[in-house]
Amino acid sequence: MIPLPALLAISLPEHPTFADNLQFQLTGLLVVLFTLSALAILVSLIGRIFIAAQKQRPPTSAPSPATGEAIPGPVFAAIAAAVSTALADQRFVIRGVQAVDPRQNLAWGAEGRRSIYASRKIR
Amino acid sequence: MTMLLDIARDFTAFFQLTAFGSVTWQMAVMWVVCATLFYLGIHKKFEPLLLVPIAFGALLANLPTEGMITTRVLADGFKETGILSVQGTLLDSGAFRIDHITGGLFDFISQGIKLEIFPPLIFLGVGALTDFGPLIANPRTLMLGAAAQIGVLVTFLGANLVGFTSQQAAAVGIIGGADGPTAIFLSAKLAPEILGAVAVAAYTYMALVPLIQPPIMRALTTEKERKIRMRSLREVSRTEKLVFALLVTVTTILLVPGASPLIGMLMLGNFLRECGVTERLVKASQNEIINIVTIFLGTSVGITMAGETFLRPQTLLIISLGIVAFGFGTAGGVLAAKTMNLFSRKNPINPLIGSAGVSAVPMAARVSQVEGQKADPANFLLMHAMGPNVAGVIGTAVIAGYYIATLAK
Repeated sequence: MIPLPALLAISLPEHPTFADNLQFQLTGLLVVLFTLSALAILVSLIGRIFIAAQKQRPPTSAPSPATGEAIPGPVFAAIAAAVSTALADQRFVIRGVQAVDPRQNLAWGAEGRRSIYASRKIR
Repeated sequence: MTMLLDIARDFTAFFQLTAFGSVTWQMAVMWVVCATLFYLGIHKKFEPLLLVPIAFGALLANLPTEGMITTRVLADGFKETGILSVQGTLLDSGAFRIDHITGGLFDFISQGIKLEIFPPLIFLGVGALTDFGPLIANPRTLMLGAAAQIGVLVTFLGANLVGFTSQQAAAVGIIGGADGPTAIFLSAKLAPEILGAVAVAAYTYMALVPLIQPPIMRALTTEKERKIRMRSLREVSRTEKLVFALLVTVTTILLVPGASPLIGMLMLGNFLRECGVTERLVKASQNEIINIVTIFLGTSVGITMAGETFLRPQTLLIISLGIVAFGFGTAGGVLAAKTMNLFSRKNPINPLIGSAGVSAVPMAARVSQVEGQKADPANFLLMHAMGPNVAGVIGTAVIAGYYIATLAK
């Protein structure tokens, strides 16, 4: 397979005319769009295969919502501390604790990821 | 009296052995530049992990050091650094036997940039730290990563118009990709004489993403668009993530071989992360390797910033063009998202995530999240924005590969 830029036989002098440069940049944009479009199409196709395969699997029973009684004491204390921190100065009463289905609500997971990324300023 | 005169003579002789006489005015000005970079890195916390080693490297470059780095002035006035002297014997067989290599500490360390080793190693760590799940769950966000490269292309045009050569213009333009390792990789390959200025501009502006992007994002979107809630992302299995890593590696390298070192290492790191059986290697990539290479990369970039090379009007131009690149990249991503919404009214994209296509992982995604929550506090855009964010990394590597394929001498 011939690489895309080589296939297009592109080159640019050190000081090109504006028209030549514009053509060069538009070709570059085309290369990026083509490459990432190709990836998008392939990833979509593969995604559909995986979704179809997932649907064919027998459904697993969703975990039943946990109640306050089922939660061990130390875990309940940690949840209460987290609520207290999140609500800062507000008064609150915890009336129940329920497990959240991660497929329905990704917000806290997202926040966790955000803080992990934030702790690694590598670039 | 004679003894006093002897002491005075010896003291004068001692001063002749010191390096004070070698200090130039350019060095003194660069100490101020280094102090500014230290201030930005340490006090303002602008990308400190890179900016602090760069500033320290720049300080070393502007002191009359011994045994640190060898430099020579080229015909155009630029200083070339990292020169190794190799002595050896030509054997009868035609082979060359190396007997002795001489050079300063950074003549050796900075080979990591000259030989283009450090940026791909950083990409290994980045790959090991990146979750491509949001991108796989919503592959159309790859187009936002492509659209944000408009900043690179526009800046290339502008840089060429103000007198930079095509190779230098490519290095200046890539600042708009907001991807430090790629900017260093491309500069080292095409225009090593402006590497220091490009790296400083790239990392400074990456740190300024939360200040540069929001006004552009707000100017190009309506309140209604900023409130768009996107559909929850589906769960992506480990196998799908592994297939994705292989797919990106093969497709990108076949289409743009110039991007091979960057994409290859990025996806190697990600494959190690997702395969689940190489935990030690993942930890090494995420921590030890990336940290060690970051120190060497930063100082090696800084040590290219000798006053004679850095204190030129060209440097100011590079820094000015860098912000143009960031602005156009941000606008490109936002406008691309708005354009996509014209064709996908049932499942619209919040245009605020388009700006994350400039890479700057994960800062640009966090800016999308913050701006989205200003319009609708219950809207969580972070994971949606991670899609174009990591797509931007791939997009920048592809455009760098295009420039390498077409402009490398």
